[in-house]
Amino acid sequence: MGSSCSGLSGEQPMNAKTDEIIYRVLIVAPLIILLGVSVFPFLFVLSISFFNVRSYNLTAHWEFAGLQNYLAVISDRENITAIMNTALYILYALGIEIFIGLCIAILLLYVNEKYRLPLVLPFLIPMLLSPMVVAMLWKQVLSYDGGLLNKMLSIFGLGPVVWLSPEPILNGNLWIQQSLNLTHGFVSLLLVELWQWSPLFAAVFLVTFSLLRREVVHSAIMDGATSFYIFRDIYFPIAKPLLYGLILLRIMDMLKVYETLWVFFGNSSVFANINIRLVTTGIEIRNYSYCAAFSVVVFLLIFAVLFIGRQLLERAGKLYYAD
Amino acid sequence: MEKILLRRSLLVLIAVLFILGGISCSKAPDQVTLYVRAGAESDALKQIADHYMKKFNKKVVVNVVGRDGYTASMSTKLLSGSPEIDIYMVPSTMIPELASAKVLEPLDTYISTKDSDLLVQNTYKGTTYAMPIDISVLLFFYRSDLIKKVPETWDEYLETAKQFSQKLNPKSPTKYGAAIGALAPEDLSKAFFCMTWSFGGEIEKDGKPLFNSQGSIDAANYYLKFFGSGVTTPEYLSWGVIQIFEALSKGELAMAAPQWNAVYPYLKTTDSPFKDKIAVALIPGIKKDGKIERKSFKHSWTLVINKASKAKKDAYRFIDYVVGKEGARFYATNSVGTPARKSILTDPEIIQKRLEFKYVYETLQFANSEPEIVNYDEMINIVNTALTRILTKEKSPEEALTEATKRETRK
Amino acid sequence: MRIKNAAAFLLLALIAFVWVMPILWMIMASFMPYQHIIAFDLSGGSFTIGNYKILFFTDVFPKHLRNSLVITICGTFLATVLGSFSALYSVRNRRFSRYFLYWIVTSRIIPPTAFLLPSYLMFQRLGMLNSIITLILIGFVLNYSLVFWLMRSVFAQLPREMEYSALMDGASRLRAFFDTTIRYSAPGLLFVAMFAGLFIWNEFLLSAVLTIDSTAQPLPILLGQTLSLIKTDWGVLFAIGAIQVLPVMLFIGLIFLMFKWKKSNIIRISGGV
Repeated sequence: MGSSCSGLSGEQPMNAKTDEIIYRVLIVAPLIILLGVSVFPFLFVLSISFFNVRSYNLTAHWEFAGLQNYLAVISDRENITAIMNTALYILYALGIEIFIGLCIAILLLYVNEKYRLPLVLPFLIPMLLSPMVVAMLWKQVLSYDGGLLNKMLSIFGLGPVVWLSPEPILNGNLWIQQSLNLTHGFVSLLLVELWQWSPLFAAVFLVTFSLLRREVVHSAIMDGATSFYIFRDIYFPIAKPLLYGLILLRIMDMLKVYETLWVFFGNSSVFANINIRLVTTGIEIRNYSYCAAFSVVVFLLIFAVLFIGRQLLERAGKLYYAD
Repeated sequence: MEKILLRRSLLVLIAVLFILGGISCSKAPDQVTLYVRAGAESDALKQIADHYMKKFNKKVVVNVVGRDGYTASMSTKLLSGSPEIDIYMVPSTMIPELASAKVLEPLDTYISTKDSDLLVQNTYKGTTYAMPIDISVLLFFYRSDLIKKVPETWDEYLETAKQFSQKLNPKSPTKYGAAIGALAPEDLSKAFFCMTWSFGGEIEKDGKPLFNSQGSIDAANYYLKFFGSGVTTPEYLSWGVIQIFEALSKGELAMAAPQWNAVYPYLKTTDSPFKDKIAVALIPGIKKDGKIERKSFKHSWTLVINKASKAKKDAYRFIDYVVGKEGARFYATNSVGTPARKSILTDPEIIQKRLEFKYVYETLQFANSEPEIVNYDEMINIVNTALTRILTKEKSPEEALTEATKRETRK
Repeated sequence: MRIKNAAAFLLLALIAFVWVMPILWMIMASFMPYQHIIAFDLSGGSFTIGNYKILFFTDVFPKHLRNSLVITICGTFLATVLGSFSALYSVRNRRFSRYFLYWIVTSRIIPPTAFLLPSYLMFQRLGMLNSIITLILIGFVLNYSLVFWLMRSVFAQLPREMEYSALMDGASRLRAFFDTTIRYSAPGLLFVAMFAGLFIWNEFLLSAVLTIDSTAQPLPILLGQTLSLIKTDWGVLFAIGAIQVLPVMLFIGLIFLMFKWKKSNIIRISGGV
């Protein structure tokens, strides 16, 4: 280790000064970079949103517009559709993901312990794939002529389905299904999401459930508890803390979905989510102020939802802080 | 001691990687770099660039970029003011916006004589900003071995298509009878404008947007009838020119209208067994007072010089050659491009090799083009949104198109 | 009980196989010519490495591959080193600001698309639009909070006495940090670094907007562009996809091996990562 002194914290070897400098730099550097790349651009976006800035007057005169852009953003049906699409996506995907993860975890519990890991690993592969690769792969699998899924279905005699279309999935009322996003295209999106991320929940459930000691379950059975009660009062509470953390993580990631939507549907207004809408207004239409105003509105919305969510959870005493 | 060495060498390696990453390709002083969209035009440009390099011994680099989102990525690069690309391939409709943003080099000082042979003059507010390299119109393609009587009106088109769709006629030799491009953003909006004009409507009035003229509503209703009849693929919202081209070359499609003229020569370059069976004709129209009235769509692809470019003179020399008579001739005879020159399109010798030129020139006489506005991409986005809502039956044509007219903020 | 075991095993094996089938299809199809993929012709004669040949002989693919590798390695290094330092600092110093933690969590929640426009405009002003350094910085920023968050829980498990004893023995702060904390959290650190690296390797949107040509563009961009060339050549696309997926496979293999060799150690030290 090259230490020359014996126990006196005051004396240090010769390269201590440079090491000290490096230490301080390594603490401060990320803060500066983060500040530059996140805070300053945000301030710029905020300022642009109060003017009328488009591609052709970015370097020229900025006309003052006050709250005009915000009014336009809030009243535009496309933005509301985008936010609704995002919200419904999160809602449906989370609900089904947790359920599928639970089923897989319960199945895994029946398997002998030493076979569990090799059995779980294939499920974890989709999680780590690049969203672009996943999008491209599933676009081929779900395509109408010559897609893998339709070819497989035809083997079982089932007709080819147009997966990537805004067609409603049932034959009933059109308006209800469209409002609830019960369309083929949306189902395809959910399919890709579930394929990639249900195993994460399965892994979490598996890890927490397998920590449970057999004796606890056996004594509950001896006391006369049915499977339902065992699940609700023994298994579920163990998984709760990790589950809530994971739900938060998944929500944050679902807000970032972009590549799949872009590859499947382009900028289609039927399926657009917040990200697609931001890219459309900012890069395609190039109405920078409008895009800026929309970004700010999205920020506020997310903060509001998080704030309310935290209050609710704190109220119910279920929040854990790792300070 | 080894730990320190390991640590230091690791740091050196990382530093080297950083430096390696930071080095960007250096450009030769008089090298001209282009940024073009993948397609018939890019293949043609690459060929003529090779020819130019051999003839004048000057370096030309052609960057070919994917079609999806080309206008978005191209405008992003151009608006960023970086000098790396000298020449951009730009659709004529984007020139007003780019010129207003002052990222295009005005070409009037470079042009020595006014060229009246060019079919398009890409000026904005009196200044020339671009030279047209390729012109596109919407034509009609069909399988001449299957279809003997060419449909002349849109209703005939639909009726003929019913005979050639396997869904409606199990004995049909082709899978789908007809196809209209409905892929957003380009195919959908442009085909719809063409249909609007064909049905006697307008898309602007006195400089203000007008998307709910009777012609537009009729066109939208025709779309609903067409796409709901089963004569075309149920995945029609994903079918653009590329998918239709593939379907034609695989023999799965009997007719395609309105469709780009470039499809015809492009088919000839493939080894499709059907390439000689696909014929070209004028786009269908509407019967009025016993005569067929046709309207079509035209637009041009142009080359512009980046205002921030460091090789403007060399760039203009390249553009001048490619757009000039000699370059255009090479372009027409050695590639699948369609130069915007009257003399080339009407030259009998060239027409022998490029049969569709006859139809292209004739169509140009009754083809309209889109308005030259600064917020063109916004207009297209609004129109496509309205059309998507109509096609998914969320809104009626009148509702959606009236809303679109109100939403557009033209200055 | 045995029957239940076996039944569950078989059922899960079947489900697992169907689950990874799309990936197997992609890898298999990357070795098939385009015609056979569309026609779903799986006959033996259709094996070819033509797709890969096409890739390596174009002038853009090797550049994209180089870019991806450089950006991933440098970005991961930056994010891991700086993130761990900040994490250690925040764990060791009680006075550490709670607001900084909120800020970190916030920056993770905001969709990166909201940073799209402003970072584009900012980098344009700085003239850094087509450079690998820009993408390295973006990779760092996007993953800094991930590393910070995860390493906090790792470091929280290690006693600070280790560092104190090293400091008392006369080591500088840096060396104390390296030779004690890092050595014992190395597995967790490796894990986190691999996650961050994977995210940088897979990044698409910001890289697409902040670059112009293959000087600085990583692999996913090539995928996006090739999707819309003249013909959707699924064979070539799947080949690019298979290469893009390679690190993931290596990662999974590494996890498997790590679990086999150091099972109990990892779980104890990684602290629930």
